[in-house]
Amino acid sequence: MGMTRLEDWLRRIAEDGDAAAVDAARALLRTDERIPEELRYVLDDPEDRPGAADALLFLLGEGESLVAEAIRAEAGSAMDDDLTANPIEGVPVADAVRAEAGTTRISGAWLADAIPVDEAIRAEAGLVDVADAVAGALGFGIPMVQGALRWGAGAVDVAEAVVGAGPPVAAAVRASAGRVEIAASVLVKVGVDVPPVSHAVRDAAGTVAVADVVMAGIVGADLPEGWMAGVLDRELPDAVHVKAASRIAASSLLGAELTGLASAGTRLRAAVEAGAGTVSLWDGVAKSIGIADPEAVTGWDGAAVRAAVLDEAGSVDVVRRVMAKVRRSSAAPSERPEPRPANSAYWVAAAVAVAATILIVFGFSGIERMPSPGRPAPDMGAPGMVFAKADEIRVDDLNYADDATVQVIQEDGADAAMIIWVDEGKTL
Amino acid sequence: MMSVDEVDRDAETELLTAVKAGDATAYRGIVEKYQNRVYALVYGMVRNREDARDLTQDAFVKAYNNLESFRLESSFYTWLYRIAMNLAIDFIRKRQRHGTTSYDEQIASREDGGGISEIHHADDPRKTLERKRLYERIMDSLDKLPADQKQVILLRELEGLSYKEISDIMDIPEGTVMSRLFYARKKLQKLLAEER
Repeated sequence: MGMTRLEDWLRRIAEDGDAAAVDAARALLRTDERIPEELRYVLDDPEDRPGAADALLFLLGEGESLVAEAIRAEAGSAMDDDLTANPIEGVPVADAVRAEAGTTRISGAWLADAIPVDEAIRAEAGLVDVADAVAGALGFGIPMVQGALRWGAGAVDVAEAVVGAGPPVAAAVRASAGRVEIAASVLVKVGVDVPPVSHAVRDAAGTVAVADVVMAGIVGADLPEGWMAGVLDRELPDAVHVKAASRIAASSLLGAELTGLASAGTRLRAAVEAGAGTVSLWDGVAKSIGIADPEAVTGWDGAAVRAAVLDEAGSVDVVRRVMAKVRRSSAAPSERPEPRPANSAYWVAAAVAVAATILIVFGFSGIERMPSPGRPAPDMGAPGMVFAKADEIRVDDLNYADDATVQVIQEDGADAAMIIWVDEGKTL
Repeated sequence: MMSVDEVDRDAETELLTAVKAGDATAYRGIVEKYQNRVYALVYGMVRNREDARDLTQDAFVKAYNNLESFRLESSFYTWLYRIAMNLAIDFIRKRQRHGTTSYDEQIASREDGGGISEIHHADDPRKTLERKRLYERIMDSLDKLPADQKQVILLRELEGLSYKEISDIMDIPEGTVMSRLFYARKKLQKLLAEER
């Protein structure tokens, strides 16, 4: 049997008051340096030896203190081992702790440090959805605001509001609301009295402020004047436009003002366009930017186009049709021979001559004799005649006045001359 | 399938690219596309045809000379309008500073290079005359607007530009565009009512 330790003897004494154990314990206790000297003879007193043994065991780290047992009994399941390491005198402490913490399990650490109430509240309070509250306060439930708030603001961390750290609504609304400014007073109305939110949203809102119209919808104010232009030009966000338009429609004065504004603009446009007319500036601009020929186009070859068109077009015979359209002068002498179709070479020339400037004969309707090839023209004091030979086709660039009479006369025979008479001043 | 606007924009970008690459003759397409629109705007500002013509031409030349700094992905016509409007504003300021022509003289000069052209109404000459008088009243009222209100109302009513486009041209916030438009229209309406 091995040496029994002092703790073993003391445990026997504490449990069932074993007399044999007392002697042994007394003997060992007198020489044990772990126990203060004044306590080495406590077992000599026969009164409450079990209690003394228990206390001695506690000092030796072998047993639990009765005080600790009392606290545990009072505090219920909130106790952990830390309490035994830090014994607290007095039962009422547990009551005080329970009253503070509610049903939240409290670790022993709080006993030495500050109570983490915010954590407890956060765990208890959860999250609050502000979207419906804000939308309801706005009065007309702008869908985009509701969606923005619900998506962005979502839930408000109540704990931060409680401890005064400031809610994250500003950042949430800024991220979601975009260019819609929600005035601080609106937020106050829904109980979110956070001035920095309006500043944050205003910073992010950009240059279109709809606060006035939103406030008009909430507080019943008159429609701000500047917004009339926005309604007229359809430049307001849709939801705001609907609201503003309905207010205008409900007021005959506002409606008349809107009509007046619209007509002023329309009439202005007509007036300016009527006054301005049109211009063609390319020539001036071209010269100013160093282009010598305003009509020039880089890479363009007009000669090639002309050649291509002429090659493809070929020649046509439209004489019959043209002559059918050409009306004779009433002064045409009946004794003059009717021009008869001759060979096509001459008629092609005639057709061209109808549309061209005469170089041959001017203004004589009383000529007695038709000149013919080889026969000199009679001297009539007129410009000389130039005749082409029968096998020659002569095409001249001819123009004649609107009031001129043109006659084409063809002498008989394939070799006959073609004579064109132009009577300026005579109308058909 | 591309819209008409997209096709038009592509064609314009091609022209501008060619001009930037050194083909000055391609600029003709740009000039012909915008000349009457820019001219009408400038005329609305200065109310003299010859001056408006010169200023419009100057705007195109200035745009050409500064085309290197223009980014093709930007809107050419808002850039061009800004140049034209600035030239018009400068011209008006110089005119006011030097007092070279009084308002009455300007009206007289309209007979030569400005003024409302005869609007011939085939059926009723009286209507033609009435319309001409109305237009002259409107233009006189327009002249009485401050330059910034005149500018914004011309850009809106003549060109139908959006607030955003006007804001870009005039380099002011859209909210300011809206309020200037409102007051310009209101004043114009009031002036027209007074002149009846």
